[in-house]
Amino acid sequence: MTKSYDNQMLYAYLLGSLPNEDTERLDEMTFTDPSFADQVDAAEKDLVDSYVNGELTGDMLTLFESYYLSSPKRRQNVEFARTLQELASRQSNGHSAIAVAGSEKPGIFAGIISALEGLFGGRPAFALGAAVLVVALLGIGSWFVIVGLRNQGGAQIAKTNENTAPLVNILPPPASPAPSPIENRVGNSGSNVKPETNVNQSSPSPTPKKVIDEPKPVIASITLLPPLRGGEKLPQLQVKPETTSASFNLDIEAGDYASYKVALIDQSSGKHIWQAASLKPRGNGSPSLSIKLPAKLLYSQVYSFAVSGTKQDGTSENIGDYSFRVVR
Amino acid sequence: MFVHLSLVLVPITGFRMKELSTKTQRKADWSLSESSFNRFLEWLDEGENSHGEKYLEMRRRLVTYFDRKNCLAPDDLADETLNRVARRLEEEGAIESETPAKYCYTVARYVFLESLRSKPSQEVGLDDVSERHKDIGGEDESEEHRLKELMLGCLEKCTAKLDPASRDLIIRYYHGKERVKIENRRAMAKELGISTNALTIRACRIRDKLEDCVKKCAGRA
Repeated sequence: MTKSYDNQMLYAYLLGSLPNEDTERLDEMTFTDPSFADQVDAAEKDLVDSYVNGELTGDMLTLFESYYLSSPKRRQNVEFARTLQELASRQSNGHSAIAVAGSEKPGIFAGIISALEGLFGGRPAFALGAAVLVVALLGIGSWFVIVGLRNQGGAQIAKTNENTAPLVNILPPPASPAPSPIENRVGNSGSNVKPETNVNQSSPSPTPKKVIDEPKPVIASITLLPPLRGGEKLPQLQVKPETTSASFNLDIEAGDYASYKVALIDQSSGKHIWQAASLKPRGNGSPSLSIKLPAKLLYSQVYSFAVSGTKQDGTSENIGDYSFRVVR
Repeated sequence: MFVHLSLVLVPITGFRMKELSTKTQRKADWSLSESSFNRFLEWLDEGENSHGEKYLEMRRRLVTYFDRKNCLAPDDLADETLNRVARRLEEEGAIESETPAKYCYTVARYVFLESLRSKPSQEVGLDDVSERHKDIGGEDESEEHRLKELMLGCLEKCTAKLDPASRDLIIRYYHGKERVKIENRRAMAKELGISTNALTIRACRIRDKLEDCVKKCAGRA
């Protein structure tokens, strides 16, 4: 069972003020002990919230500003915490309210609190608790009403705002076994995509055992042309549930680099998903880079390959971003 | 065990230099093939099919590790670690001496130490911090305000999309300050029949989801 660590120790760890030995021990535990990793993540959020709320003082504040804020990623955590606080504060001030199931109007939460404060003799904590309960009951009530109406088939269910992604895992649901080794061809509607014939990929995997156990590979493939200026349509890669791999051919204009580095980036979050260095181009006349990835790493969204070339002397240059959309 | 890695850390002379140079060249030439990537995913999964989640979680852990070490390119170092582990797996066929998590950490530690040796400037010095703060301060105020409003709008949308129980939990969890906040959280934990620690972890997971959703939403806008 995971030992529960004192928050002060975790704060010291997060602020880089623990002795090296302790730091390394805790570093290792963040990999090997998921419960401990959760504890550290929670302590980090508490620490950031405390900073945002102006609750840090003395050495802690100094360390936070000099050490913690030195990383762009960690500054993003602070920005998010600020936004969360702002939202909570706006709610309590009646400026805005979260649209619970799309039914409440802005300010209703604050209105309820203010009404209940009277009821609880001006004690805000009780009023807040009761207000939350009322809003929760309203939300649950609305939910039941919506579900009831939906079951009757007569309700107009409010559409989810399409500007935000659904709160689901990044990864798609499990791929069902392939019904056949038929090639899954790219949904190619982009102007910078070369038409390409399907490639039969039903060759057996290296180990005979796997041939028996595993479904045959189904590969979605796409050729991406060098990025051009202008608003050409985003090429699409259709990934079906039975697709096991995604194969990319990145056409490059000049093959005068010793090697290439390619990073797959989730465009919506900016996250790096995968990266390969030292890729060698294929073909002399029109060289291209060939990349194959497990299809399960790709979700319905826009990605890009950031490509850079490395010269013989080790210096590298950005070549461009090859963007595409995955459609599942 | 870490033949290739330890070679980098010993003094380089004579024959060893040649050997290292060949190995370094081989390392530089190596790239992750689809089959080695698949094998790597399977190894991380330890017998269950996580559909790539274990990989993404390990990558996230590694990026966090290098970021906490104040490395300037935590993503690159995380990828370097994953590539080394995958290469090792391809060369050896299996890594059974340690669990995947422990092994990845061990390799990450070497990658970190190497990064300190090869590029001492990779670690951020405290002097750099004030410079970075200047950058933040120098940002145009109206642009900052626009971004803030954008994030708030996204957060509202993302929160509204949570399931009712999670939405209720996160709204209540982050309400109030100091004493009110603490009492509020105690009351919530009691109401839910869980410890305050368990409540904190639950709130953290929802917050992580919200953060991802807000990033996506703001990225699109």
